[in-house]
Amino acid sequence: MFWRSWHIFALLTGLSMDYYTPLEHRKHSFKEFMNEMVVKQFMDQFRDFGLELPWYWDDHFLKELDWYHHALHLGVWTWRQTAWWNPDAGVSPEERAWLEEKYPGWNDTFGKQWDVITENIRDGKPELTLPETFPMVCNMCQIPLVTPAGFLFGKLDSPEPLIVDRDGRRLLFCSEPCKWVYEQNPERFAGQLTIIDRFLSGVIQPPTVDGALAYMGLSPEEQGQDATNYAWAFVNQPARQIAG
Amino acid sequence: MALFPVQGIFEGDFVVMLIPVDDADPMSIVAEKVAHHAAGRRVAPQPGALQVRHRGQVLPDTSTVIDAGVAPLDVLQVGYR
Ligand SMILES: [Zn+2]
Repeated sequence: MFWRSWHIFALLTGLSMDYYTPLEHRKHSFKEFMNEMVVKQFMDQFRDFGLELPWYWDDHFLKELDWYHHALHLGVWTWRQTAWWNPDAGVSPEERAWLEEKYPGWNDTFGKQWDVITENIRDGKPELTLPETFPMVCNMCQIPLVTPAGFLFGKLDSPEPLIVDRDGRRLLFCSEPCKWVYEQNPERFAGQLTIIDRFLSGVIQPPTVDGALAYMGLSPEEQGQDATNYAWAFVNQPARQIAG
Repeated sequence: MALFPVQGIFEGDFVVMLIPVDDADPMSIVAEKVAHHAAGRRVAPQPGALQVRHRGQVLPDTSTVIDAGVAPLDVLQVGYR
C-alpha cells in the first residue's frame, strides 16, 4: 500500500539523504529526489494505466514532502537511545544553511527547536536533550505523532492527531490517510498494539523510559547516541572558557 | 488521586507526548507537567504564565483534570498566554 510505504520510506531514506549523508555527497534533497524520481514515475504509471491518483495525493502526500521527515529526524535523534544506530544530528551551520535553501521555512520551525537543543549542549546540559517520556504513536503506521510539526510548518490545520474511539479503545492517527487505511479494514488492525498501548496496559515495567529500553532489550551499550558526540554544536564556536 | 495519561502538545514543539498527570491536578500543575518535556528542551522558555487548552477551550488554572471533564488520552495543548 502506497501510503504506509511512504511513511517508512520517509523514515529510512529521508533521514539518510537530508541529514546523514555528508553535504559534499548530496546531489538532491529528499524532496527533489521524491519529486523527480518517485512522484513523476508514479504519475506516469497511473496515467499509462488510466488510473486516478489516490485521493490523498495532493493534500496529504505532496504536502508531507516538505516537513514530515524533518520531524521524524528530530524524533529519532531525541529518542536516539531506542535506535540501533547512532543518529547524526546533521545540523552544523553549513548543513542548516543547506536545509533552509532546500526547505524554505526550516529555520523558523525545526531550526528554532534545534537552537534550543544546541544551546543546551553548548551549556554542558546534554541531559536536557534526552527524553523523559514517550511520543504518542499512530495506530496505523506506528510512527510517532508529529502533527505539531506539520502545523508549525503551515501544512496542517491543527497540531492535534486524529482520534477515533472504537469498541472502548482510543485510536490515534497521524494523518487522514492513516485513519482511512485503518478504517478500510479495522478487524485486521485491531490486534495491532503500539508501544504506547503496551505501556498503558502495564506490560512495560517500570513505566519509564528506562523500563521501555529494558523491554526493548537494549542495554546501555546498545543504545544509540549522537554519532559525533555533539561536535556539530561547536562548529565555528569560540572555545569556551572553563570557569575557575 | 489516580494516575491519568493525557496527550500533551507544547506550543512550538514538534511531537505529541504521553504525559502522566494526576486526576486531581489543577491545570496550573498539568501545564507545568507538559512544559517540563518541551520548554527549555526544544522550545525557548518565555516569561509569563502557561495555559491549557482542551477541545479549543482554555481551562481555568484551578480546574482539576476530573472537574474539567478531561478523558484519558485527551489532547491538552499547553502554551504561554
Ligand atoms: Zn500514521
